[in-house]
Amino acid sequence: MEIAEELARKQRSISVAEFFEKNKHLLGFDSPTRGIITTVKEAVDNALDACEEAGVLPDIFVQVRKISDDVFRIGVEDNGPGIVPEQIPPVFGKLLYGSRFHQIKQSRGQQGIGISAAILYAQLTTGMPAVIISRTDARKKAHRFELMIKTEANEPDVRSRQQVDWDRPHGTRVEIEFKSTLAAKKRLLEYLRYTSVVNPHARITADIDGEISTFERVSAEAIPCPKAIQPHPHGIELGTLKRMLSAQESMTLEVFLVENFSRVGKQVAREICEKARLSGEQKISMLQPADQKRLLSAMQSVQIPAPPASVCLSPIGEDLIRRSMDKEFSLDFVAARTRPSSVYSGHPFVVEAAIGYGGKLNADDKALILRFANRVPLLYQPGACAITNTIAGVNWKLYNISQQTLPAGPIIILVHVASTNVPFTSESKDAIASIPEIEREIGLGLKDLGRELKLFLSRRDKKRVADDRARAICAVIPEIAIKVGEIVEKPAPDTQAIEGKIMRKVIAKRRTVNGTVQIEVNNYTSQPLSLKIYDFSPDAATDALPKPAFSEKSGDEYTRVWNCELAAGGTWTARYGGRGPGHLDLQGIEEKQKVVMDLDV
Amino acid sequence: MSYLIYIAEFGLIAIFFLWFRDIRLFLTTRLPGYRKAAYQGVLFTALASLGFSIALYGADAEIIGLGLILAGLYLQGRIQKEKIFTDESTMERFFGSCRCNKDKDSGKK
Repeated sequence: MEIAEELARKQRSISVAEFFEKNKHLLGFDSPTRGIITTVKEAVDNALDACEEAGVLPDIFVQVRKISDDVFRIGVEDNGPGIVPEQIPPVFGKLLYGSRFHQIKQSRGQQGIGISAAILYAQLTTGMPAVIISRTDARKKAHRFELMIKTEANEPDVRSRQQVDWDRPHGTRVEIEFKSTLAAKKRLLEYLRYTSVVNPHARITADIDGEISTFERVSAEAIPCPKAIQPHPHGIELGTLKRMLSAQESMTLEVFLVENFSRVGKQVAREICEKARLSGEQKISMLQPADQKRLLSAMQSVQIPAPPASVCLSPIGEDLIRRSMDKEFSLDFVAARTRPSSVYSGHPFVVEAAIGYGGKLNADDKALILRFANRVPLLYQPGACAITNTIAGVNWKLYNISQQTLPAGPIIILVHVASTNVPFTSESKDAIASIPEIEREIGLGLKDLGRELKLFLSRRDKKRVADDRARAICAVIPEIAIKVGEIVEKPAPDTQAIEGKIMRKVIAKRRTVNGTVQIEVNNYTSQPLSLKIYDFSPDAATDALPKPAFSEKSGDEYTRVWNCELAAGGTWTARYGGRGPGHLDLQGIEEKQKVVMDLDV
Repeated sequence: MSYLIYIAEFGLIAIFFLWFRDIRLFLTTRLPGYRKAAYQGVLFTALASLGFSIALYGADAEIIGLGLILAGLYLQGRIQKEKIFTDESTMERFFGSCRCNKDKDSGKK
């Protein structure tokens, strides 16, 4: 009895801050190296979410400064709407405090743990308070807070608060100091690069210990902010249903169903009530536990359309993915697919996939796999992620790509899963759980892209063979010209024009016939070109047709310049009266792609 | 059938063409160099024809066939011939039309 009483005296509740202080690995703070990436990730995610909600183009500045041997100061600044001063202490100084947890829509952060956990980690390692500066309006001053977290109570501890001048008209800056290393600097930059790929509307500038990197935006349009929707009947659980019922006891069952669930109209509500053997007119306060179970079972068995994904989800879009990937990786081939929205357990989701090939990617390496969930890069635990497993499950050899479990070669695979509730394997949001519906959509998207890549590779191989043949012919042509010259007892003709035509170059010729200088430029390349044609000769050429854009005498010689837009396969000509000697040059094309011939010589 | 067949075909046409041209020039000029070229042209054209047949029908023997054609072309090119052209145009020279001696009936140069 005494032991029991003694044990009872030791029993006490644990605050959520204390729990995460002890289990920081659950939030991605398992090592000092990783801590720096997790902190930047949480702050950047919050910044992007805030800008998205305010409809502004994100301009984010990330700063990492070494304070002493193992202490770093992380600063992340955004141009979002700012946070009202009263909300700053709970937002940053209290775990599980946020605005998005109760909303069903796509967002990066959800539980309100991330940035508070970073502050908790900072005070655990250095004991220093976090500094928050936020400004909501250009006409108001910014507010600067120094705060910590009271771990035993999970409450903010405001150390100082003052109004300050700040150069940004609105936005928020977070500064956190903690013990860490910059061993993962490359990975940190990778994280920022990947974030820029899936947030093409954002400009991210990073100052990592004095080294500045800028990830420029490719789209100047702010993305539409997803709107929150009601829960879908297929994704509800008994506990949630009971809570919802107890909150609105005065309603009738039919009204409750129509007003609290997405895609439930009067007809669907009646069908649910019928199936649950309950009356739609019945007050929900009268429902017994057995009725509630029957109601849930009926809700999940009735056919209901999928939730409105176009409202609550914000996929990146095929065009922007292509442009972003091309900007960051300079690829020879990029294709992207946005799959139609789908549903798992009542949660809508959209899978986007992209494949890039060639460019600067290393041909000997394994494929570079970029995993994203709600526009956030997933950097850790690739082996535990449904995305990696699905990629490994595709037979890439069918698409002419070598494969050793994962595909190999100069290939980059991007998969983005956007959902109102991404099923992560843990709270550190490192990997997506293996959900058959999600895996199926990823697989379909990748197979579709694989077919497109196969087509590209076969076209490229055909072109390569054609180029090899052209090169072989070009190697033989001068020899044939010499032989023909010998046969006809004349000097060998100039074969440059024929070679240029075969090798698809631009050929410019200048010749004088009966006192008229003729200039002809042929574009045998497959690209339209914008060229500047320079002609130098002692002739004044006042009768030149077309008229040159520029003509000037310098010394004994005139310089004329024509600007010419030449379509693929097109020809441009100019002529003027003159004696002949002179020379020609082209600008606007690589040296190896042009052939300039003076036929008077 | 690879693109080497087209090269072989081109070689065969070239050797036939050069042989007929040598015959034409011999008939015009009666020069010993062109006589030799016209006679030996039979052998070289036959060699090239054999090479083309091998390239066309011999499985995996395109290179051998091509080699025979090139050998024919090389040997044909080695025969020393007299310089005969004076003011003929390039096309006349190419097709073997020579104005240097039209006195075919006498059989003398």
